[in-house]
Amino acid sequence: MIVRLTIPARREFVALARQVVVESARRETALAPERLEDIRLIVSEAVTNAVQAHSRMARGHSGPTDPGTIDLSCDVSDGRITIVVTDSGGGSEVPLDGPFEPPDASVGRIGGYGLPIIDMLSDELSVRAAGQGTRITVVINLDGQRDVGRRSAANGRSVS
Amino acid sequence: MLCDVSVSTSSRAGEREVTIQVVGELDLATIPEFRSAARRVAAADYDNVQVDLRACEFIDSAALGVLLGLARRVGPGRLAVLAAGPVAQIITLTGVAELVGLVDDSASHGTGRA
Repeated sequence: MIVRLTIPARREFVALARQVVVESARRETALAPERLEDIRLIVSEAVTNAVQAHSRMARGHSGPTDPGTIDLSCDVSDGRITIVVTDSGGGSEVPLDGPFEPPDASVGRIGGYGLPIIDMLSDELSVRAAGQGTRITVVINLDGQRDVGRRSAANGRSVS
Repeated sequence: MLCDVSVSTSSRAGEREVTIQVVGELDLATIPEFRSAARRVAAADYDNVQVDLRACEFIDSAALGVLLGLARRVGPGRLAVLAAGPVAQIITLTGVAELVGLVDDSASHGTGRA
């Protein structure tokens, strides 16, 4: 099963991206409800990052600008679900090789939770420069249980 | 998906209380209204602040950021976040449940919707 979706890089389309991917995964896999919720959040965070990259780039221009588009794909094969979000928003603000550590909430810092949350809920995460923007690739094993932090604890970062 | 944010106030035993209720989904498109309500509430010096997310079906990391900011502004022990199901789970998974004063209402959530 392969889903391909191109959306305008506008904040109103983040919900649509979530819905399309989660409904596809619900129909095509036997994932438990909580894993579908993980996918919902993963897609939302990845697409939000992409929209924000486009917004930052647009702020650098004067006058009305085309927001550009974001490409989203979701493939289910070989017991894995692979979600790829590609933007052309001029590049990432995060270090591409991670680690994607959450900010330390106890000292009052807020924000910056997007990639750490994706990293925590997925089996593989890669963030790469691609063309005029960034490509985020997330892999979730269909037979995996929700077990937050298992990768970090077991074998370190699997950023590839 | 639309999102509705409402703010209501009450007084109990001489304490001023305020509740922010969110119905719908909180994401990049809908968070400005929630963030602005949280800022107004934080600036108004209530004795107790409650955020009712029981009718909220989705929150993202930005919404977690707003909750953390609100918790810091109102001070320890004065914020309670009511949530159930996936929303309560993500608050717990990200390790901020205690910081934001999560009250997990999942038990009644499940039976209430069955």
